[in-house]
Amino acid sequence: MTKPRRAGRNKNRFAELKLGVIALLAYPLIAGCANLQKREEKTAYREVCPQVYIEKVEEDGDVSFNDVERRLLCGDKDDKARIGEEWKVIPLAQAKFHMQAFLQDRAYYRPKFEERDGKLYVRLGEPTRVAAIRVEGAPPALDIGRRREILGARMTPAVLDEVEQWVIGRMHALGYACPQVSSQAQASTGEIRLQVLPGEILNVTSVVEEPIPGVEAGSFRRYDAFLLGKPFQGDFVRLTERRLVSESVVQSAHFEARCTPQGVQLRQETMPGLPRILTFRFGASTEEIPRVEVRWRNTRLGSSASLLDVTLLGSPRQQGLQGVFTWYGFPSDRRLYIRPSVELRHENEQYFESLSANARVAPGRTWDLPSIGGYVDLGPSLDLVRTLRGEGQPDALFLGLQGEIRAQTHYFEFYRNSPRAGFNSTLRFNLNSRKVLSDISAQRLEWYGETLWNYRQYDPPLWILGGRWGLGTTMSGESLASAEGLPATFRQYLGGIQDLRGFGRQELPGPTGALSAAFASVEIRAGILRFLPSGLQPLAFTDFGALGREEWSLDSPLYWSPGAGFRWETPFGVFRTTAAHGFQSGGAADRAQDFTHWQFYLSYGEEF
Amino acid sequence: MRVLGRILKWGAAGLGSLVGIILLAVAIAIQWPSLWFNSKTARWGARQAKKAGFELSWQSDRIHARNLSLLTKRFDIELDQVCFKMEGKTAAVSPVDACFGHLEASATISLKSFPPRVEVLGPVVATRGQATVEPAQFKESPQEKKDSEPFEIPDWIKTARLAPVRVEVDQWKLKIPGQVLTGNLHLRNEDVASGSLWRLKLEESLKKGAAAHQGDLALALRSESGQWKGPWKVSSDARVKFRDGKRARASLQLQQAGEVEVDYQLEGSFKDRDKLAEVDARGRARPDRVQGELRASASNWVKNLPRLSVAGCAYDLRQVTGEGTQERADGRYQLRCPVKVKVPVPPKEGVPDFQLPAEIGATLFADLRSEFFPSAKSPVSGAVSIEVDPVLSPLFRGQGKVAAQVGGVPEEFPDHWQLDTELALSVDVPEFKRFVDLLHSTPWAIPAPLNSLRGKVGFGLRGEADLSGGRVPLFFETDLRSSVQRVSAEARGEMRFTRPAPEKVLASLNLEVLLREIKIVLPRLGLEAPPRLFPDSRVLTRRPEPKKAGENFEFDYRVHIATPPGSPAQLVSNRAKSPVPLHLDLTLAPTSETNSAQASGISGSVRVGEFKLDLFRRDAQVERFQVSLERKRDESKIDGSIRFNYTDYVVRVLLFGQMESPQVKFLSEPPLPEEQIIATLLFGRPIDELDPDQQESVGSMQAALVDQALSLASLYLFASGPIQRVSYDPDAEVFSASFRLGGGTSVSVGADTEQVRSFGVRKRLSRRWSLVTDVERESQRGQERQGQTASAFLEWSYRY
Repeated sequence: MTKPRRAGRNKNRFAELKLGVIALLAYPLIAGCANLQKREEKTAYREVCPQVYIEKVEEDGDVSFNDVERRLLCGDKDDKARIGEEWKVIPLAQAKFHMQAFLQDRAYYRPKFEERDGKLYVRLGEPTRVAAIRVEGAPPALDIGRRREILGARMTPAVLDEVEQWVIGRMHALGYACPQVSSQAQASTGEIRLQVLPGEILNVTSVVEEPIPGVEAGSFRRYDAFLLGKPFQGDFVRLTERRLVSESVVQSAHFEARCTPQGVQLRQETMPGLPRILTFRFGASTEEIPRVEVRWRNTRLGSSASLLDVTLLGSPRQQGLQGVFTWYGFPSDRRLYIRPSVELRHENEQYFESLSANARVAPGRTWDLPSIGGYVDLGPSLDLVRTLRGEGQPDALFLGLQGEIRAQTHYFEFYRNSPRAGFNSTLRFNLNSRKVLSDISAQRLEWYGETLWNYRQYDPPLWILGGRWGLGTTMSGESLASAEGLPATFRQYLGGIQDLRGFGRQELPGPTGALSAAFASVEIRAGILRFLPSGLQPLAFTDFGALGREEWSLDSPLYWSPGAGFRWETPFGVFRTTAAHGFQSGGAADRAQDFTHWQFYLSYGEEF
Repeated sequence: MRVLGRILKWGAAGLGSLVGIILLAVAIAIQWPSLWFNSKTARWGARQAKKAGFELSWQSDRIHARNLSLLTKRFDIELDQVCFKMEGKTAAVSPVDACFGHLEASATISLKSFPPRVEVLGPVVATRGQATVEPAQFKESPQEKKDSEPFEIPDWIKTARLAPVRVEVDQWKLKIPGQVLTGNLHLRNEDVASGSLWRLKLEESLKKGAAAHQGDLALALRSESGQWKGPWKVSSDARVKFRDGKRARASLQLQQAGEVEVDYQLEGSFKDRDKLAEVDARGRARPDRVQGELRASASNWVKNLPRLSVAGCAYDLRQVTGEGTQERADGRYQLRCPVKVKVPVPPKEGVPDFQLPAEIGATLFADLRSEFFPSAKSPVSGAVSIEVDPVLSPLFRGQGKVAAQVGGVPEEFPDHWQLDTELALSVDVPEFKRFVDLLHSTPWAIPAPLNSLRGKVGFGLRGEADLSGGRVPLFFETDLRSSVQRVSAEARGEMRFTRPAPEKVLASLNLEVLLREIKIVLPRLGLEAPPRLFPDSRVLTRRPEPKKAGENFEFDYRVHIATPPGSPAQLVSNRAKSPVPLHLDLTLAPTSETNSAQASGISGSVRVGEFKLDLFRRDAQVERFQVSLERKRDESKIDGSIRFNYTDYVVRVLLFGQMESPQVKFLSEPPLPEEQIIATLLFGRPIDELDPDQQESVGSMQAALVDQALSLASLYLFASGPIQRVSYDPDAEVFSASFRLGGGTSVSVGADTEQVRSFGVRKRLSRRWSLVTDVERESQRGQERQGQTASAFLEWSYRY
């Protein structure tokens, strides 16, 4: 009798256990459903107008509507309006129709509408984000994967425009002057399909200029970053426009590309403006606060549109007056110029104070190859330097030969204010000899440059790796310690935002300066990262530098400064802030020679 | 002779003996019928029947024959466990296998006449029966049909008096392909005061399949004479209940009204959940004519139509003598059938209440000729029409008629059929406002600004059609107005149908819409960019559905919309001083392009008449403006000229080229440089008097116009606001403009690129003051080692 009872009890327990397991398994489902229901019930709405309510979105901010949109959703309630009576009453069905179109602009393609008590309640659903981009018909060189910030972005018509324009821009850069691009997107999958009709790679055959009164045709060809007879390159056409505007020779410039069977015909449209510009500036340079400039320019002097520039500047560290005339007087070669200049300058730096006058005549020529350009100039230079404080002889006269050669890639120039690619390099020399009317024989040579590498050529960049270097030496028989020695302008200093950011401006190696200096910097900067606010770009760097008391030699210690900072691109310009610690390795003789410390810089308009 | 006489003598003696023997045998057979009607002869008969395919057997029998008089005999048969089986030797004969536990049958036969007559038939009792029938075929072969003769009760039994009959089949089975119908059957005949009454009660059921059901049939057949000759009165009642809940019931009353006339009354109903069909037909039938009156209704069979009914529907099907062929008598079929359609009141949720009358009436007329009696194989010809009774509701009035001449063989429909149809329909909405109010809260609401209109709308069609195609002229008229707006239009055209193949129908609509007087108010726009009114066609919100192969219906349309020469359509906008006159000449047609984003169904031209407007804060005169729309959207062109009168010169802005990216040319008399004209237009001053920012704006505008980066709408929008500044990013081809608002504020329209890629960034603070960041070129900085120096300035500049 016992066994059956136990069996029955066990059976009951088993049944209870089964119920428990079922309940346990069912609980999440039931709870989930309940939560879902609660969520449904808890949808919070915000009033757009008394007849339209829209779901509140906490994550990305509420959807807002402008006045016209509001009128089309809610009716035109302005009784004072001259017209609008006919739009006073918007039926909910019409409001719903408009709402669908407006929400599409915000990437909400699956809104749900509910009408209750004569009111329209709109649940937004999830916005559609771009999940994939497929390009058909484009040449293999066009890699849509290089375009960042689109995948994952809200798939709005504006994003479609953006992608289309990017592809057109890249096609221009690849030499296709007149591509046709159309797009189609699938709201349910977030897939964008681009159809590209590239056309052909065409050479630039001619430039048709809109005449500018008083300026000979062809004068502005000196600014061309593109080459006639070579394939069209859209970015370099834009670069040419910028060169024209940045030199202020015209107020605005634009090239219209027309495709013909023979090639691309560029039509230069300019708005020249008046040639003379008077400017007063008050502000701050990188390491000078305040800085005042008065500048007068004539940007189209003569029929060849030569440049005359007179600048008066003043700051606590520098005061000067400079006049530069760049004369393009060679119709056979529009890039050839002669640049006479005079300059009076007073400098008051940490280790020296000097007054100098310079007169120079520098014939030169700019040049542009398919992807690189630059200039070279060479000419006599007369310098009078009076050292008021610091090392060097009190008065010195230099008559020498000064020259400069510069090369930079077009893309370095193109992205100059948002650096990301290319390189530039400058070689500069100033040769003086006692034998030729100079008080001191001193040959100063400098080579510096920088290169930037955009990781995987993303646009906008993801990571930018930069390198910067400089070598300089002054060959002279004079001793650094000699009171009759070289003036400060021939001495080498390091330190500051331009080379070693862990040290103060021209702090190294001390008051006497050096005859040789070298530095190298590496910097890595992140592109725009979504998780950082307002487009802040973090960066890290290490600078290395060394100086030598002799020409062509470097001594200990090795100065180096690791650091980090941020770059912030704003509509007003670029802010950069860095914090670095200066170290010196080997050869610290005494405390006075110990320059190790933290250095903080906040710059505006400065780039790596 | 003697021999002959002897032969004759013996012959006569023999014949007389034979006759005597026969007479004796007949007398014996009459006198003692049990001699030939007994168990042995019955079994012998059964054996003979088996040879003919009819197998009859029993276990035990009691067979008697009695003399009621000399010439009146009574035969009684009583069998136990009797079975009979019949093989279906021909297609017309079905195999039968039946057994009864007990069978009794009696008959009284009179030998007073020849052939003998059955005086009394019965009583017959068959109980505990079980039967299986397996119909060999359901269809008769034509040969058999031709050979078969109508069954007639032979005269020798027709006058027999029926004694009570009782047949009880406890279980019967009817084997049909894939199914077995089972049931029981009880047949009785009773003598009643007014004759004899047969009652049949049958129950049957089908267990499997879609038609599984359970049914019963009660049939009463009364012969007022108590004999087989009538007059007859038949009454039957059948009910079927299907397993899925459907129910059917039918009741048929037949009363013999003459020798060949029958009065009939049929009542039936069928119910499927809330669907109900009822029919009541009664009248008189005779071999050459069937006439009567039909009443029928169908409830909830058609969506949104709760009830469709006919009442007093008179029909007359008769043989027309002298008109048919010898083989086929001709028949005439006439029908006059009032039809009532009940309209849902109140309407379904979400469906507006159109305040229709509770019922809409129509009358169906038919006058057809065909073989008598009709069959699906006999040609039919004649006229059929439906006249819809005038519908009067507070919202609209409507009426219509469809009349057709038909001809063809029913089973071949629609092949080889003639169906010449005339149709006419008209609907008037006398007060549009009521319609607007009615639809206001529905998905079909009349949108603003049309919902403020008052007036009337009419629609109608009238035309002809047949099975090979048709042509239906239609028209549409509006006469609507509000305080500002006016929509007076008429549309006339036709709908055509063609059938290039039996299964394919092509329909085409050709409509001419004349916009007699149109004045529409546009929504009040601000200085901000106009909102997106329609979804971007580049974004597909559902997967494109491939066109179904072999679609049997194709629709094509061509709608031509035009304004009369002297009466353009007018658009009223807060951005224009006076209504914009539009001369329209547009054609709407379906696009054949697969990529609809690149193709448009609209072609033609939109011409703006001369009118004054406020552009660039000045009075301007539109001299001409025409948009030529092509089916390929990017081939659409514009051609326009806008004139500005200044004190010393006249400026003309020419717009031409593609509609989506128009080219703009500025001309003046006397001639001025283009930038000078733009400066004047944008800022009202010569370029020399502009601040640098404004001069840059002039350049940006010029560049944007060169790149054709401005759509027509954007151009108008920018031109109609107080421009403060214009910027243009040629890389992105994005144009933006700032408009000066009151109180020192401004609003920016367009994607405001801040030229972060340009050389230096300039932020204009006032006319001459700017915030500038700059990167100076090394060559201008003399001996400074690191020539690339960045700086930020507050700049005052003056260009002269």
